[in-house]
Amino acid sequence: MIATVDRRPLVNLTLVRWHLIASSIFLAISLLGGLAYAFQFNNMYPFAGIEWLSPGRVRMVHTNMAAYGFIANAFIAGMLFAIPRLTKRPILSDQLGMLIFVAWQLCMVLTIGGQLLGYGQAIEWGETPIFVDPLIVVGLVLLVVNIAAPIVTTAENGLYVTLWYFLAAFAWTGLVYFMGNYLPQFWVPGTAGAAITGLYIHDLVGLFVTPIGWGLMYFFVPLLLRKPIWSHALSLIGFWGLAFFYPMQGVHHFLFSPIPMYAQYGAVVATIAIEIVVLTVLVNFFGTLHGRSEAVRGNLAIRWFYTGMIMYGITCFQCAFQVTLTFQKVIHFSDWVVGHAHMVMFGVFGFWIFGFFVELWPRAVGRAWVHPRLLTMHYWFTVIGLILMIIDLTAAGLVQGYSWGALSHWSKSVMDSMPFWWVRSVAGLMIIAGQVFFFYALWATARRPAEGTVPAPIPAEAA
Amino acid sequence: MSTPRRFPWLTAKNVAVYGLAIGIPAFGGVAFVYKMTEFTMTIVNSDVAGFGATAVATYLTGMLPLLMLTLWAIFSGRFRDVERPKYRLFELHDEIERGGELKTEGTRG
Amino acid sequence: MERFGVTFLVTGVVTFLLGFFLQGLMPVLTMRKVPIRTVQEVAASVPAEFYQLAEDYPVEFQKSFGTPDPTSFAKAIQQGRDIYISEACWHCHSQFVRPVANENLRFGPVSQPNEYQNEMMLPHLFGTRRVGPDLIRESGKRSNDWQVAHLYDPRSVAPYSVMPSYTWFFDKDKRPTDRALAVVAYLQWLGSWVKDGVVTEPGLPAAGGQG
Repeated sequence: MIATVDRRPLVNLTLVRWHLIASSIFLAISLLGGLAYAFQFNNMYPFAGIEWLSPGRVRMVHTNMAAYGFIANAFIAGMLFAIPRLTKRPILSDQLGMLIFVAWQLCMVLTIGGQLLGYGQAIEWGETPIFVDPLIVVGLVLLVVNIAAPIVTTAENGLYVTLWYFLAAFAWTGLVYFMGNYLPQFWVPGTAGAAITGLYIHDLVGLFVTPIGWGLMYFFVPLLLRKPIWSHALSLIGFWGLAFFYPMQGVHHFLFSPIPMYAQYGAVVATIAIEIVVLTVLVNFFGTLHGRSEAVRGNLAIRWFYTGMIMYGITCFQCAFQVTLTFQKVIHFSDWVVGHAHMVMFGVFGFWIFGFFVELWPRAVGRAWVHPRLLTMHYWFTVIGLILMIIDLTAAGLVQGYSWGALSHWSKSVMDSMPFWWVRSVAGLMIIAGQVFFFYALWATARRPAEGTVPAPIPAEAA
Repeated sequence: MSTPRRFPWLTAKNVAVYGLAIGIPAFGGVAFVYKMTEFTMTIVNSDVAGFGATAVATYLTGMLPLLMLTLWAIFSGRFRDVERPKYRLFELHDEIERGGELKTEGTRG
Repeated sequence: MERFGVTFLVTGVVTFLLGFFLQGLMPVLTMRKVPIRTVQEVAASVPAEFYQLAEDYPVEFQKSFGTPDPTSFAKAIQQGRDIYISEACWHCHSQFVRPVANENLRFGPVSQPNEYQNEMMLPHLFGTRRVGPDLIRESGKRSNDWQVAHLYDPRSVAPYSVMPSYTWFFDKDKRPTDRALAVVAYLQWLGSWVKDGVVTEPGLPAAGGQG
């Protein structure tokens, strides 16, 4: 076998940069969509009367761009950075990487266009138009081939937990996407289709976003803290626990629905069982932080990561309760669930992604951050805005749930929600104000004259 | 200096931390076992027999393979040096960072 | 590494399939004895509201659907369902009545699995949020005129509403086009199979609302 010397850079920073740029653009689109949609609830929708900017269609853009535009792009960037550095192998092909990048953004644009023109699909979290779905599946397969190649061919012995999580996500994502977008659409109607949709809603979070998110955390947090993870064994237990319990909890999105009750009970039990798994992961990370907690103050990326982890703890704790039938009676269909979704998708994974940005953007553009203070402002505006939104929506959910249960006229639940919806809009404005700082800092950093030196690497000591 | 205490580890912080660390999982565990028993009982002894079967089956299909895989990994020596990769992460990182512009002469064969 | 990797891939896919079996396929198997009805079979029983619609808007109805019969009804509810999906109505209106939280008193009989075993429910439109009320028992609760006015300007009939106006369902003389009629036909179809026990909205409307 002839070994050829490969002189490509280990990490293709150009690809990382483009994915980060795309991620921030779709974040902006998603946030503006969310804000516009929130204004509908204050009866001051800015685009009223315009068919293709109808609030219902804009909401689809909001959720889909958050998941596939913002989170997926940033995660691809993170994996493009982490995988070569863990395996000492570059990705399979840089050209293929660029092709996937272009194809993925094309899918996103087609999704936005399709949804605004009325071709949205009635699958929650899978509203991508039917004609985009095959493209996305092909894109996912190509992506997996491209970035799983280094993991498969690596000469390293003993996989680090990050790679376990990535491999898991690779194995599941295509399957999940196909299952959720095609079975209920073409073959399985009604209640059985709803069971599969429930699986899809949950598997998207559980088998795509969660494993990649945690994988990247296991990579970045020890390096930034300059301290190995507390227990690698525990991290593997957490991983396998996720692998075995996460795929079984889909139906908990449709409790008390006409889906057979046994499936609902199975979902509830599996959901509560996974809380143990979540606990092991959190214990591991806070065990790692123990003794280095000053880094939360000094290192912004670490602060984002651990803020996200606290949010994760709260989310999962909340989940163990809200999945019980007792809670479902009141909170299902209400704004409580909306608050929960924002806490997971933005409060956990969004915050982690901001941490990745803090760390990766200077490397990707070859310049140090221009205005670190702006990033601090971004942190506080975003965190306070989001916490305000979550508390507000959770409270609104309880008000709505009890109002419905008490058989008051429907208008009462709407009227009583009004003040909450105002607070929600204000919280959304606050989050967006934070992102303005962020986008400006990104732009200014990229525009800064090059200094000719490589920016400071991941700090050896958490400053 | 204060007089040495009989139980120097018995500080308020330790009591709180260990109390919560043991108490919460124990509470959750008892509740979980109770609920699982309740489900299991409905399989044999209920007018809605079989009602809890899926709940138990879901849990077992999740739990048993996990347990068997763990046992397999332990007995096949997978955990003999299970902490090794986390140190390797730093060796790799330092090696790559020393390489300057992230260039490395990886060999592909 | 290679062997471990293969072990992993197999277990990863197997756990996924196990989950899929327990949570996805078992409900399919439970429902296998209930035949999946086609749209034509579903539309065979045309509710009175559809005939009424033809009388309420004779010119527009004639232009859009011709005469009210099972064929035109099938066409109307399919089109209505497609618009319901493309406007993402299902994000704010659910389509199942739960056996808890007094929902049977608010909306009507609790949803049964076989109600959903037809091609109109492909994909199902259960929904996960209720900003507005559930719609699976909507048939006959409100008049066609109310529905049409509500689509054009929700606050004209339900002052508290936060629903958007769907003015593009109407032509420039504010007359309903085929889209408005199709959505109304679809709404009047939802639950037309269980007229017994359907209740009108409970409680007193707040601040002059009549919805």
